[in-house]
Amino acid sequence: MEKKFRSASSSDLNRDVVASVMTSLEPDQLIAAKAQYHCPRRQLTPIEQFLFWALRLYLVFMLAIVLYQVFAGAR
Amino acid sequence: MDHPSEIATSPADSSCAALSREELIITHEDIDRADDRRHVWAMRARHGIWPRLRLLWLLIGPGILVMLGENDGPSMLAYAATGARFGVGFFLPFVVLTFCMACVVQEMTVRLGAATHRGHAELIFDRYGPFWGWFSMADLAIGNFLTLITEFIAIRAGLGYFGIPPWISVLSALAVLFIALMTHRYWTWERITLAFAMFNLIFVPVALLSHPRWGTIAGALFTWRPLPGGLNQETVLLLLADIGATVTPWMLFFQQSAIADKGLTTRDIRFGRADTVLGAALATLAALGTIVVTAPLFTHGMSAAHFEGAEFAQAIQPFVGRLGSSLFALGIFEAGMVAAVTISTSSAYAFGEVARRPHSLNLPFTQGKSFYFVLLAEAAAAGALVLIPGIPLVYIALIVNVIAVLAMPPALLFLYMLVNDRDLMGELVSPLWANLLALGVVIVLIGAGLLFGISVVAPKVLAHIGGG
Repeated sequence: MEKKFRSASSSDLNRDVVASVMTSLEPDQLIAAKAQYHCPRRQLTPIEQFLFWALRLYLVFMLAIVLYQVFAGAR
Repeated sequence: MDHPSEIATSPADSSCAALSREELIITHEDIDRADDRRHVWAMRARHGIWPRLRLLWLLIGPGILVMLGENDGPSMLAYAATGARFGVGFFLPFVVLTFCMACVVQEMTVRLGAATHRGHAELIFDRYGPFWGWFSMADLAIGNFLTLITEFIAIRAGLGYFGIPPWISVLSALAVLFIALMTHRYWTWERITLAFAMFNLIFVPVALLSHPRWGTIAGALFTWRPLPGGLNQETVLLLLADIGATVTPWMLFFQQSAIADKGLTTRDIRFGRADTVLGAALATLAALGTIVVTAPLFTHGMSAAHFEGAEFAQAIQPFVGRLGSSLFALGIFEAGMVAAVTISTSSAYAFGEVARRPHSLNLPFTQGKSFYFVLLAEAAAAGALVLIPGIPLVYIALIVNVIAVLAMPPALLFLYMLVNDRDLMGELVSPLWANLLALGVVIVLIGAGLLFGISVVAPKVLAHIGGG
């Protein structure tokens, strides 16, 4: 992570800067905390799965209609 | 509770791993964000009306930017086409309603961003996995790119009124975008973009120059007259374009990510809401102004069916004078410019969140190469496309707005589920009334989409339904 963000570890920084960052930001606002912790995945219920798929199909179907209208208009 | 060390932390804090001093890495981004937050804490500790106003000034931004950003090129062209085709009767209150819908939707992103400090794309990927995450990203990427093309159409059309060649318009817009990013500081970027976004209100003085009949406007706002000519394919296209001018998927991604980047916390939610409502009010004013400006074309029976952006400015010149039409053209340019900035930023945020790359406007170029590359490359590609001659500009703009409306229900389902996720939101989950309002928005959007489908596939059925 250090390589990716190319930032200083707290021991390299001025004590005042570290103190200022730690008191001004909430713990999970720190980039290091965000990189280390990710929200755990949750399983979708059957109803949620159904809704996700239904709206996905709705979108695909409606986009097909938009394409049809565009081509019909162009003709 | 006035000192930051005494903050009641957000629900995500409890599950956030405690970092030892060795593990603790302070980034440039952390230092910049902490600096901004220090000003907020200092102001919060003071009492009185001025410190409160100053606090509001410090905390506003994402809401106003997202709302005025959504008053973008295609939106203003849609409003202009609406006024020219139907006057003020039905559409003034309709546009007010669509901005109320936008407030309902965007308020959820304020809570989500403040409670989790994470962007929308990141939460979708983490919580629902890459399968649904990539669907969501594909919707965003395609929608954003298409919309960006229309922003450059507006930029080209607006500056085209002054005789500026398209390639100079596109290059100038890319230069402005680049200069805004040169600050490497979220706060400075936000203030520059906000100042630029305020020019969206230029449509209000142009409306005044058209000497509107205030009685007619007040009557339209409070009586909500039926659509002239009933429902037909053209009416439905404009209805959807006007809805797509206020609620679109990129707004969800942008405002949540901007709130996380700005560093808003759960204590700032009230101000985040105020920011959103203020933005919606300003954007409504500009939208109504645009409809009022082009309404004389409807009154005088002038057909605007084949107008492009600059032609609207020329057509309204007899009613608003040379100054008014020049301001109108500048407004179209500005609408495209601000949206090009905000939309390309929303794409870059989402890319960074999904690719787990640094993604912040506080990043120096060396640390945020991928973030800035996505932002600039997307804008440059969209800008290059509009240099192709002979494109039907207004039609493309309307269709892009329609696609935005169609993509909203799936995007809203993710938002609805995230904002009702107690593990993420704790006590900040949506109350029943907010869920009912969100459900109402989804029903309106799906209903409008289906109406559009009927108008294309079975126009006779639509004529039967709408009495057209």
